[in-house]
Amino acid sequence: MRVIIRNIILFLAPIILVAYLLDYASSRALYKSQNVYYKVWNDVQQGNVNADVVIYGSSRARKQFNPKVAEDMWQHPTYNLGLDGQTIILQKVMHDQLVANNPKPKLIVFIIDQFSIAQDKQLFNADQMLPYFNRKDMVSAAKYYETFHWADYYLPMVRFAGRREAIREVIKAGLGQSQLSDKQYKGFTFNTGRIIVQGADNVMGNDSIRVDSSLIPMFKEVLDDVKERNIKMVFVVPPLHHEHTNSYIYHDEFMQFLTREALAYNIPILNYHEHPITAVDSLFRDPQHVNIKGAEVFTEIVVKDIQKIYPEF
Amino acid sequence: MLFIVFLLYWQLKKTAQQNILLLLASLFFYAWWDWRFLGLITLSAVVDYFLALRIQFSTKNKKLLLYLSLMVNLGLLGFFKYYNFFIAEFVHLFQSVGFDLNQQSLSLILPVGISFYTFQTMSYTIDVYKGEFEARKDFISYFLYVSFFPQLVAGPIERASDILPQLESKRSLEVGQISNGLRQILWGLFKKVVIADNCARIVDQVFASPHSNNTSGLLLGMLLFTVQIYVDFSAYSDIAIGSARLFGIHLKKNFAFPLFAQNIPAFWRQWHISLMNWFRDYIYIPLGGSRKGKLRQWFNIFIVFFLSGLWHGANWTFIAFGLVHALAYYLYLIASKTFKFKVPYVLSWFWTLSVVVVGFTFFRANSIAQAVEMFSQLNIPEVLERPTVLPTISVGAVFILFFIIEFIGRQYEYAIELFFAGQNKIVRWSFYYLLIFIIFYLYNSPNQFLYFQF
Repeated sequence: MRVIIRNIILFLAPIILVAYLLDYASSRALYKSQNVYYKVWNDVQQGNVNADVVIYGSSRARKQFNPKVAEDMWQHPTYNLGLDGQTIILQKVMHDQLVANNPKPKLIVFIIDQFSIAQDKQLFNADQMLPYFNRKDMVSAAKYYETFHWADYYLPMVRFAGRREAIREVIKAGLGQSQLSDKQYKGFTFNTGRIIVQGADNVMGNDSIRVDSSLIPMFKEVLDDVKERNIKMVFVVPPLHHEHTNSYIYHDEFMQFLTREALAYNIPILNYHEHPITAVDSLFRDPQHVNIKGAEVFTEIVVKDIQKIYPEF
Repeated sequence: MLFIVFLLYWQLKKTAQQNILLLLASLFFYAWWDWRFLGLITLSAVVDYFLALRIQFSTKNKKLLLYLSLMVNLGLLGFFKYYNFFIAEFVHLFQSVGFDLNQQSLSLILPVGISFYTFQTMSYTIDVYKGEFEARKDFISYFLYVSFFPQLVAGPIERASDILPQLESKRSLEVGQISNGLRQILWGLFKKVVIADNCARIVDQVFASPHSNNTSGLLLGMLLFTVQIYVDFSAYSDIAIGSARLFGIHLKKNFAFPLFAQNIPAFWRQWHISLMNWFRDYIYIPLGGSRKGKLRQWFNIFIVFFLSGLWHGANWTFIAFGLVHALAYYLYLIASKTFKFKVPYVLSWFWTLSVVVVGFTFFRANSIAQAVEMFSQLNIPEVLERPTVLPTISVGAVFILFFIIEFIGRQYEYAIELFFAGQNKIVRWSFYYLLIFIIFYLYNSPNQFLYFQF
């Protein structure tokens, strides 16, 4: 038995050692990554946001609100913190990190829809969490989801298993080859191409994207903190391609919730759910996201509407 | 868990203690899936334990006792696995001739491993009835034979004559055997995680919407399902056999590289060997095998393939799978009598693989209509087009590497059994580290083993 145990230990020891070293090196490499999924988190944690206006949200923020267009219009530094798959769970972590590590923004544009406070237990685009498992706030947020397994938290490198894009980004960033894409500006990344409609209706009619009441306190904590810090905020309900607005079957339920909270916290709502731009096919890349042209048009509309509410911008 | 049981097991000095530990671990393992079905496996085991003893020691009514055992086992299997299917077909049949019957289907959960352990308990009682095996009084080792956790949920289907003598004798701890077991487990994991689960990604896409695929995409999906089901199932067998080796117990080889078979009979000698041996010994031979004339042999072949299809589940697609193979078997019998020349290996292999792919397309399809539609969509001029779905370059390269290793190692118990056997530890371990790295890199969202559903 002793020989067997010794052989097993000898066999596993290099794996464990290399895994720990790689885990450390991979996280360090991704801290330098220019890939939007890591860069946004890194900028927030490293105090590099430096913006008067920040955008919160999911991919409907990241792909739809262009800070460059906004900056040209209101002359305020603007940073888009929206990331794919983010709901209030990660948005709260990001908010806490933002206010802890960066100068206070003057305005938060919260691009919000029913996905933002949904009970979906699968974290879309979980790669964005990988380098930060040494942070308690990130780990406790990740634990809300069923995407990660216990081994991902406690064993080195396990969370990277099969995440080939993340591994490739580790190598690129580690070799200093990770560069800012020309499709990327302060968190905004644009889409080109055509409408892809398959499967969209299924997602939008799914029960898992109904408002999760257990997340409401977390949402309120963010709003309380924003109020306490005297930061202005505006809710923006993003547009959806007009052929799909009807399949968004819990929209009314979500709007009732949002209206109630907005009234309680005195936060204005800008609702583009049925705005005329939703009928312009050429502005959409897929049912849930506008394309580069759509982002330009949408940003202009939002900025103008915000300026009507807050003339100082 | 496996490692803890392994450590405890070899600390125990007595065989009986080791058997109790393995039995407890097995029952715990089964309860982990669904504790509610512990009663079912216990019932099946207890019934056959007492009936086998009665059969052995009584002079009359042996046949009646055997029938009772078969009724209980087939009754459990039939109820949980086939009740809804037969009720639906029965109602459908009556409705088609004008009788309006209401379908009373039940929401039944299929108990994990029921197709495997009932076949084991039945073979035990049949062997005792035939006087080929002595019924055991030691309930612990007998129950362990029925519920031994490595092979409980997806085989291999073991015979009492192979396992019980091992459970009754002293097992010794051998370094070589443990290394062999661990190596086979690693190979099973590699096959499952890297090959089967990556095949599943493409297969699921193709079978979910066949219409959005061109001919080469459909063919690739069909071929990859054949690869997936072979690799997935044989991977489980490797993990089961490897795990059993850790406890000094030798399970039978369940696959012998069937995708390299040159004809359909050879394929079935190499595919799910333990099930096909079961059908051979308890169905085909008792029915007369090939000893009672050609017509009877053909009938017996039909029965075996029909049952082997039905064994997989209550669906016409599985029966169609069995019948495709029965037809191909007939063709082989006719051709081998008619043509005396030897067909080149590549041609006979290609023909056999094509039949196997057709069979598994029926097996995987949602319905026979879907399978037929997929075949009717095939358009020869599109064969050389770029498939609508393709594995990534890294996955494709590993698939090729896998088949090279399988081909080289096809005469062994499992492909890498003797890989780098004569080399020093650094070379061997480097190969294992490479496998672990590939598992890490090509890990996919895990799918349950396909045969767990049977």
